[in-house]
Amino acid sequence: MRAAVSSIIGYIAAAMFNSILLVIKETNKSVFDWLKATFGHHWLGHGILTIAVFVLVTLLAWYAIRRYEPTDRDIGRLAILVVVFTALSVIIIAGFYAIEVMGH
Amino acid sequence: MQPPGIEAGIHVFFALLSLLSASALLALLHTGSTNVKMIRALALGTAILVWLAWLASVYVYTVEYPVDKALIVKYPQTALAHKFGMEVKEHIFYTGLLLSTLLPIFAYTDLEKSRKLLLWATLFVILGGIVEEILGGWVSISAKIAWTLKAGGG
Repeated sequence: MRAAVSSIIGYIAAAMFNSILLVIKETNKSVFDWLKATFGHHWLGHGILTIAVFVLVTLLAWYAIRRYEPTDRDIGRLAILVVVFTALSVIIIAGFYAIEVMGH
Repeated sequence: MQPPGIEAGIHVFFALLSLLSASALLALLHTGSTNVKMIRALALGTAILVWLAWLASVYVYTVEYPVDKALIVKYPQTALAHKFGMEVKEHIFYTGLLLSTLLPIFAYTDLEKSRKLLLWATLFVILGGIVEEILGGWVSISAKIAWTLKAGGG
């Protein structure tokens, strides 16, 4: 279960990074321009960085939880966390653009 | 630079296959199937297909779509399809891409223990996929409307 737990931690970090980076790049032109200049397209850079966060945090968690064996109750909580952070990521992204659209 | 054609179709094809694969996986998990081999194959297959959908979309979105986008945002009847629809679609996709990556990780660890995790992740991959299809359809129709308006239609 070590791989499953560490990848969930990596996923949560990456999902939040994805949403937060979106808000930052859309409200900060220098970040948007940096992504574009570095990766050729802001969206491509956004994806590559999000994947990098997932891999990095998963690996860090893998080393950090060497002796952790989740109980059935823990697994239930992890499932809730996956659902909550997936929904939160979507709400932040959709909410940001909804506010943007309504503001213009 | 051409408007999206067959390349966009390939992207949608992989996305649709991933939805079918994820639906089959959800059915197996929900019915309590003990066919571990099939569950693992579908979990891995779903993840691969979502990744292929992303790789297929890179060229379409970064090189070809700007032709359509320029027209879509030009007309008030279609602008929302990009400013909300495509913007949301392109960014929530990354959450879905990583969520689908979790599926084989769950399936190839202790399946008995991670069954609930796999079921919920699969369900959200499907829901996300449906949302992506709806938004993609909206953008596609809006592109047609925008080109029609450019040609003097409407």
